[in-house]
Amino acid sequence: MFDPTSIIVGLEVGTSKVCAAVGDVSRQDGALSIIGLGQSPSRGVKKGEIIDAEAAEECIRKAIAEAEKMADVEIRNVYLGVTGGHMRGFNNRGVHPIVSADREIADEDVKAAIKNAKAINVPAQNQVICAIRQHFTVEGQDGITNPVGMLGSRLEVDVHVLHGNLNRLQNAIRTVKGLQLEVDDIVFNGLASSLAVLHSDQKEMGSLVIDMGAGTTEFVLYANGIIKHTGILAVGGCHVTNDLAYGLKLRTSRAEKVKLDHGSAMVDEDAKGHSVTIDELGTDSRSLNLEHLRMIMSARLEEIFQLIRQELAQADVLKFLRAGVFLCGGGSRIPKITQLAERVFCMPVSVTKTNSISGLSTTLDQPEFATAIGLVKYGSFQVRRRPVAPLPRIQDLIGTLFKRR
Amino acid sequence: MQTNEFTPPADPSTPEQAPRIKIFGLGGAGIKVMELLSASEFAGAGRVAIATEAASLAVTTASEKLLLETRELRGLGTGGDPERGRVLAEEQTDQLRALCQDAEMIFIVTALGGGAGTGISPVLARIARDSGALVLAFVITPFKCEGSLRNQMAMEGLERLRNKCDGLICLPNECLSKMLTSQTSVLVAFEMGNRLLADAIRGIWRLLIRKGLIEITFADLASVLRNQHAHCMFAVAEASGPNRADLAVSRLFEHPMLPGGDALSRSETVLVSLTAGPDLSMAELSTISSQITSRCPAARVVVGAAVGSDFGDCLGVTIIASCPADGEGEQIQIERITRPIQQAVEPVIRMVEPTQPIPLEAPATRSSSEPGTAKPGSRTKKSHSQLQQGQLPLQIVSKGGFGEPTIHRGEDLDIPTYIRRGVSLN
Repeated sequence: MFDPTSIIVGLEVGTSKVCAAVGDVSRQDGALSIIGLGQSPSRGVKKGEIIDAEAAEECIRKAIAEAEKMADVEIRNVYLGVTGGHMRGFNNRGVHPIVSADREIADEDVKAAIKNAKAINVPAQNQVICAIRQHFTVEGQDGITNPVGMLGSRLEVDVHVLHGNLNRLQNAIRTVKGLQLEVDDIVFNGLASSLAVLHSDQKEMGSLVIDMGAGTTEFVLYANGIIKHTGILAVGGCHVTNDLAYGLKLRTSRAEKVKLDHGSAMVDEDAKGHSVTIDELGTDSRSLNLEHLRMIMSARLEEIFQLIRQELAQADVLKFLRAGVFLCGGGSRIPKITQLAERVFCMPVSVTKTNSISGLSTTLDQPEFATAIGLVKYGSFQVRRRPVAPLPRIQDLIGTLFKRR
Repeated sequence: MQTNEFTPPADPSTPEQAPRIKIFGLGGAGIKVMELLSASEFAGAGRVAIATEAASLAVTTASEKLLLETRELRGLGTGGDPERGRVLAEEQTDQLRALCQDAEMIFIVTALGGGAGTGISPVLARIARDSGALVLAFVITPFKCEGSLRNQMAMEGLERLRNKCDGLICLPNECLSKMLTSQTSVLVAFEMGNRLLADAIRGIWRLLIRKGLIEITFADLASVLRNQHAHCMFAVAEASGPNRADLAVSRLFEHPMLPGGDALSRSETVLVSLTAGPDLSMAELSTISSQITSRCPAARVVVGAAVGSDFGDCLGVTIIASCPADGEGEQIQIERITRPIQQAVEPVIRMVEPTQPIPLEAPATRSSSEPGTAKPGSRTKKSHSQLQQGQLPLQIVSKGGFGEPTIHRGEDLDIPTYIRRGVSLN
């Protein structure tokens, strides 16, 4: 039915949920549409990293099965999203002298320059996850996006390099491979989210995407159409829950429920002096001070934003932000989170929608799915570059005959 | 050494500008510290000694003395029971109130862990505040090797006192252990603590009394000291000569309360007060200010300066920093530095391992130890000699099951933010 090369799957193994999105790239116009989505509550994952492979495997299996069912395809390859406090991003510059007689820059020169830029001093145990091309400089002329065919004696390229601990990255890959799934590529979750939620003009203007996950918070800053800065904070929604559990003396599961039912990022006047009664079958009802609840949440969330702002200020990239801040991930559902972020960043903040992709729009219009959908989008960029192999067509034919039910 | 006496006397020509201050020395140790503050230097300040034993009062030169005594105690003092101290103070509220009259500002100087200081100080602070004075407490907490019971009582007393006064400066004697060698005698060690606290009082006195060029008001001071979950550090240093600015700063960072100046990096608010003669140069001011600021990039730094001819060419720097109380990191550090002193000083028999959780982060503990709900005053001395139930440090701060901690600039982000920031939920 589908050409398998046109099927792209994004798999995000998150701290609170595992999410698999299936996308289909149209043969005619190359447009991407999401045809299936599967998710499962996550176990064995902390701060975005797998700590119990067996439990995580089970969750991935469920999510993949659900996605397969919905999209009516068999999933063999995935683009895997990775995150974790061990990952770091920084900008680097690669230089390549043009030696050909006519000084015309060829494809090979571009590749060589990027290769030079990647060859940097990352710690021995770390591996480069990706090197994202920023701008080229030819003979001192800045801001060139495609230097092929230009003349010059010296080609420079700026790249944003993301690297992380090799073993810890391998753990995630091995777990997925254990399910007989091939990992096409690993992608930084924050990068994926930003691909899903930003329009090109927003990237041009200068935007910050903050993906507020359960275990980690990733942020990516774009300016002039390129990635200027990426960062990860191993703090997320689980910390909010834990703070509440501790501060209000609740069980974690109850704290989670209280967070969802009564949480807010701001301490309002109307919360002062109010209390909420929580009730659960089999337990006593208790009354909680609403102001305290919000104070605890607000303190944590404000700190997350402040830490991000601090890091951006230190990297001197805050000045590039003109389009504003965009929030995604489950944390962006917290009421008044945009107001809090506006207070910290002093610029417009909005909760984004994954609106740059067609298909299943109402289901997909959730900030939580930004990463999975972004992974599919990343995959679609890769597929467009890749030549089509004839063999998978036959495989697919057989595959449809013996499809997993 | 910081133990040098500060020689230039305060300027007595400006008494009408100075707030009316009374210094209360509470209990045996409190009186000893107060005795270190010479009367000439603290001209204009009333000095009050309060004790539960006649012997402590006999040595003092204080202008007013109060012996808290009931017939039941038979002149034996409180016997190390804070509850008795509290009951005594409550009984004699009227006398204490009379002593607090007409004072605009009251310094309470005491050592926690015993009966008098721990029990009376919260009551005195409450009475002083009720009578309209601003209350600043200077306390010493015991060495770890003085026994876990004493430490626990000190911590409870500290929490109670913290709630009652406008500002609190605490010198944990434990901080001194870095200064002690294996030869240091017990007497010298305790004396050292007393002198350090006296230095702090002197520093704050100067800061408040000397109307400076750049003034630091009591409101500034109180805002530094008031934070409930925070603890305060202070350091005083002096230097003279051509290089005095650099010298003073380096002495400051050698101060036992600011080991290497590292502690400053975690502080939220830092108050710097300079005193010098009229020859204080702008360069010196900026040198000191920039050196201190560079150590604490995250903090709010308030700089004040006072100039008086009586300071001569002596440049004095007082620094008060409040930093959020943190959990395990701090405790482990204390544990580690405890060892040398336990070898140095003949250990007092400890009944339980000194692993009592510091009750700063446990609001439940605090509420149960409020005077109103505390145990009845009939606790006998006998109960102290019984073995205390040990407590494992299992839930000092709930970090949740996050596994590998997230450390960001020396801060463990897994600890709830509201605790690290000292947001009080009351």
